[in-house]
Amino acid sequence: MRPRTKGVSINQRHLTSDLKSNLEIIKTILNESGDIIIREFLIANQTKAAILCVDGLVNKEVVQYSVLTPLLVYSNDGYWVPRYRIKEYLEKNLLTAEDIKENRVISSIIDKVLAGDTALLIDKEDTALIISSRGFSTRAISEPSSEAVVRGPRESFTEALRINTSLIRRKIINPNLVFESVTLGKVTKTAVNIVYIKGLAKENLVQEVRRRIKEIDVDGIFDTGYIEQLIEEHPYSPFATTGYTEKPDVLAAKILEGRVGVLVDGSPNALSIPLLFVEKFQTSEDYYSRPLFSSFIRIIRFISFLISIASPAIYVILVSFQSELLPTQLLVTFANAVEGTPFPAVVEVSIMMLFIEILREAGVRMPRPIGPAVGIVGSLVMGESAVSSGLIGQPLVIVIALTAITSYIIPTLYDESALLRMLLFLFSAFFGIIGLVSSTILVLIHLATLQPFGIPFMSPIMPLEGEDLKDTFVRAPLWFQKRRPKALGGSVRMGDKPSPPEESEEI
Amino acid sequence: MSRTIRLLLLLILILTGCYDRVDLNELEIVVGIGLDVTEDGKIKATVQVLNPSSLTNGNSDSEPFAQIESVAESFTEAVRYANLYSPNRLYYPHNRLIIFSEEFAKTHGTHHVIDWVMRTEEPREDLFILITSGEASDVLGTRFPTGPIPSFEITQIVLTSYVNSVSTVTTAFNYAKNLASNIPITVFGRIEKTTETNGEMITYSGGALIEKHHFLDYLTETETKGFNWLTGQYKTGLVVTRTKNTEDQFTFEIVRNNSKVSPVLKDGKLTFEVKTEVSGRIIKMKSSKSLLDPNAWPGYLQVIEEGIKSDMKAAIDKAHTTGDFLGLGDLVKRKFPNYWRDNEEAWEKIWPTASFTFDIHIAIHGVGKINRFM
Amino acid sequence: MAKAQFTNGQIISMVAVFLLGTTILISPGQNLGKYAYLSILLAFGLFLLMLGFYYLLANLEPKKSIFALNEMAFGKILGTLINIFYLIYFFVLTVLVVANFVNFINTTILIRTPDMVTSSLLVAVVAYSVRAGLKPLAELSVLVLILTAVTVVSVTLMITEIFNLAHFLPLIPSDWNAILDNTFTVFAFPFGELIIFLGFLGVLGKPDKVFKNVSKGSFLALIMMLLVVFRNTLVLGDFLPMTTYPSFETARLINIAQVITRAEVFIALNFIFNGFIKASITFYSLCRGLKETFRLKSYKHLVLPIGALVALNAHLSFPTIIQNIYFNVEFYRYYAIIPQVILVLLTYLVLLFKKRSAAK
Repeated sequence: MRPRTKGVSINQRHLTSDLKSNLEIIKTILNESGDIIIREFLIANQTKAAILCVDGLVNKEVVQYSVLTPLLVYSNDGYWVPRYRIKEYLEKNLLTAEDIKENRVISSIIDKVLAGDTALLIDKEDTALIISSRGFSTRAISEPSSEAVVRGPRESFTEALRINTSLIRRKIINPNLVFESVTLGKVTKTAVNIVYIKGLAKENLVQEVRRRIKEIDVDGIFDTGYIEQLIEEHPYSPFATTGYTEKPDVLAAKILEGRVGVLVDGSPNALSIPLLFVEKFQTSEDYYSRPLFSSFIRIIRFISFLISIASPAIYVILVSFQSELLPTQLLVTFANAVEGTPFPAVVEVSIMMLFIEILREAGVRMPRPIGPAVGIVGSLVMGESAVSSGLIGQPLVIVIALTAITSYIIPTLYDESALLRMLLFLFSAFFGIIGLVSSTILVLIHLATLQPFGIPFMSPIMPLEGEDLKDTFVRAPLWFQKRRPKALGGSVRMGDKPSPPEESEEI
Repeated sequence: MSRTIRLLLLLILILTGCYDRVDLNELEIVVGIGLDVTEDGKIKATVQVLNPSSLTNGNSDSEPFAQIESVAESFTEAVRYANLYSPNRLYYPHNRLIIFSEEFAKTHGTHHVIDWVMRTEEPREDLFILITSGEASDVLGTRFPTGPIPSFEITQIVLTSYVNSVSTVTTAFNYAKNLASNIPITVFGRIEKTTETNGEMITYSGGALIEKHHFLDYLTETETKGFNWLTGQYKTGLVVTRTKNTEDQFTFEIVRNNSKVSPVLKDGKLTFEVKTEVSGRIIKMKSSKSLLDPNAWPGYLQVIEEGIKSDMKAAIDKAHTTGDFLGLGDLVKRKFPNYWRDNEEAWEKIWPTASFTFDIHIAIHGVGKINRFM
Repeated sequence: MAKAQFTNGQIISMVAVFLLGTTILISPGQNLGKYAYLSILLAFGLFLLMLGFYYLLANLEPKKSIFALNEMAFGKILGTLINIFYLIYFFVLTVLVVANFVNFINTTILIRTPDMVTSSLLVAVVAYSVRAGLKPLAELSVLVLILTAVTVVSVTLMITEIFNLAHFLPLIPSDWNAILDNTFTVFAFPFGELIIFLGFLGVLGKPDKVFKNVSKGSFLALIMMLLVVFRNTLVLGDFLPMTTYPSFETARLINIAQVITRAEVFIALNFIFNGFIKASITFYSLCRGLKETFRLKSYKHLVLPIGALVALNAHLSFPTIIQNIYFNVEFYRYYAIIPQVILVLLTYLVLLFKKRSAAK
């Protein structure tokens, strides 16, 4: 319950000009928490004053040298200041801190203090000075852990919002780069920034993102994942419609294509809105490396995605329904391998699919040193002995291994492909090849209906945009991609490639 | 509401189950069928199935294949009842050939079988159909030193028979198409098994004539060659000349062949023009003249031409006695539909009176690495 | 949400896939064998004529569907009756497409699965997509058209080895009556079925743009249809009229060096995609028609019950392909001519007359 005084919420109350009562009120609101520092002293030997800050959140050097030293040492130089000008004197002449603001509302002062600023309260003044002194310890900027690269920038976001915004700002030095601040979370009061380039991002996209974020009504936000779930419009779809990245260069590139980014204080992952299906197959390195090999790798990614979602289904179809599709020699090999196995193929595959997911989960959650051991036990020992004891056939082990390996190629698509694989497999297990096709149609129709933030999710495949296919299955040379993706506005991105010097004559 | 659809889908899934699911270890893979007639006039179907474990593990203890025999009144029953003797369901999509015994083709006819092959979904339309004068089950069970599965080996023999073009390759589809086009006689491949002192042997040469559904006669190798020439199926093969004077003998290998018969109707008189363009090379020769002598070449060409012509004539002569197995009626029907309408009834009498003209063009594309007789 | 926009490509593909829907498997005019292409060409000529009338009709009142036009022309009661007649026709058409599809699956792929199960599966998928609306369907049909083109061309290339030009001889048919007779059948199925697009023409855009694309799409379909028919004739020859699924049979004969075989599965897959789009479009039009005629707020809750009826009817009326063919030749073509031609002309004339007299 909020304490109420005389019908005015305590949070709306202003400071009085009595320092003592001000401090009393603040102490009550802060519940005399142990990490609150209140230091009372005299300015110029005459005026009572106090500073208020939170231990651990402030930069102690700033408080020491920019606040306390000037106040306690230099203010006593004997330079006389009339009382009514003391606040102005402090602000203009004495305090060396970089940013000082005035504030009268108690709740707002407390919010600032809790965010790491220092408040200076002066007797006989009903305004406090908020001195910027944030300086809590954060993780240093390190190499990305989940988006490893060979070529390209190696910095990643940290948990501190301002460091993250600075990383973006350093990449895009342009006045149109906007960080819109929003505070979310009724209890946590987390700072959230919406990032976009004015004029580049579609206006209605920015508006829509802003509206949805502002309408969030939740007690706390700890990660961009909360925001993602609260603003996406297809929560039951297996496909994520917002992307996340921990690399500033990736976010900068996405913003430059006309997307909107969301940064949350305390989260090293930035959201990019909207996410298109093809984006999951693109990595930053595709653009940093030369086009031919990038295109090859991208085709490989598409093929692996197909293998990873369809191979158990196709295996079941070949072994249990459409055996005529196998060449005779291969059929003989398969028939020999499954001879004597106790379960029908459908059951075998289900067990193995479950097994591989368990194995992955165990490997991911285990502490680093144990992880590989789990992998070895799981894959080698169990796989090998399952075959040799006659529980399953070798071809299935190959199929499952292929499924697993290919699903790791695109980590951002792992969730989706696991679910899709299950769906395709189930349909195929019951209806054979017809099931495979009908489930594919279901998935395609579902994909076509996805319109995150009014932008078609499957663009440029559905609807087909010939222009944008240059950056879909292949990555065409940069100077071919003169325009940004059509779904995101399609404005001009670049001009012609600088041409090499012309040869004087043909030899 | 979309949840309702999902629920319905789920219901369908759960309630229906998998009707068509047959696991591999419930299947017996059929690779060959032999059809015979028993002494009391019933049909004996022999079905060759694989034993996968023996094939892949190199496990020589068990047989790599098994032959399941079943006897019944009709063909379909016989093939179906083979299942009675097999623990698993017989599975036909990998079947590659059907061997008819001459007796079967005479008494029961081949059309039942073709109807089954073309109608049902399991057997493939491009399986080979062969005829043997002996027991089909016997031929199907021949042991080959080159491989474990007789059916595979026979298929391989059929597939490589184009090398000599002394045999015909007929698939179920060819036969069905001939029946659909009302071509009276279809030539089947002929396969024979001989038992010699050093083991069993399979020969695949010549052909067998099936008049609509029933066996008619055999073709010799030369007649089959002629048939292949006249129907454009001659791929590669040898022309061995045995001229009267022993001076000039040589073997010419046909590498490429393009031959065609076209009917010509002139003043109500029908003739057939045979146009053949072959190219090939000399692979063996015995001659008094050197190849370097340009005057010798026309003679060589003459000799080769005679060789080809004699093959063709053998086939035509045979056709005069048995009936039109060269598909000449079909040619006339397509080219002169009006003439055909008038003369269809009497075709069997008309066509033997038609004369043949031969236009054989030979190109020698190679003489080998030496240029005169050793 | 922004209003759905249909691009030219989407309309072209919807029309092309719709026309190719079942014909990709069942050659139109199949019993003519080698002369099927003649009746296809003749029927296409008739169809172009009809398309002109459809255009004139649509141009009278752009943005209005055939249902609304019927009511405008004949008044509320008679118009509703005619609309019900149309709805029954659309329903029959949906059943035909689904039955076609189910018959194919049950003769070639899922032999032992009861046809009720297969049709329920198909109808469930179709219902899902119809509920999602026309836009996803249009987007998907572009992909399906590409898939179809790739399949048709690659199967054709793979089978060239056994092409026999003699199958086309004699070039000049002796029996023109049979060809004219078949032209009638081919016009009713598949070309005339394009009337289904009149049920939701306003959604697609302005008549000018739509009809330009519709004619492009039908030309594309004609070219592919002819390619399929020529290919099948070149391979199957006189055997063609005997087969129920000529394209499937053709693909079964593909055998390149004993390695590339069993390509019929691609034909089957392609057919499933095409049949799905076709069934969805007819079903969508049916549902929209019901909505308009009975002034419902949304058609979405109709999808499942009508879908169940379609599945049931497909199961009861067309247990095998023979009933389907028989129905087509003996009944459907006479029946279909009423909604496809006669009623459209009547509506057009009445509306024209009304407009003229109103102008005076």
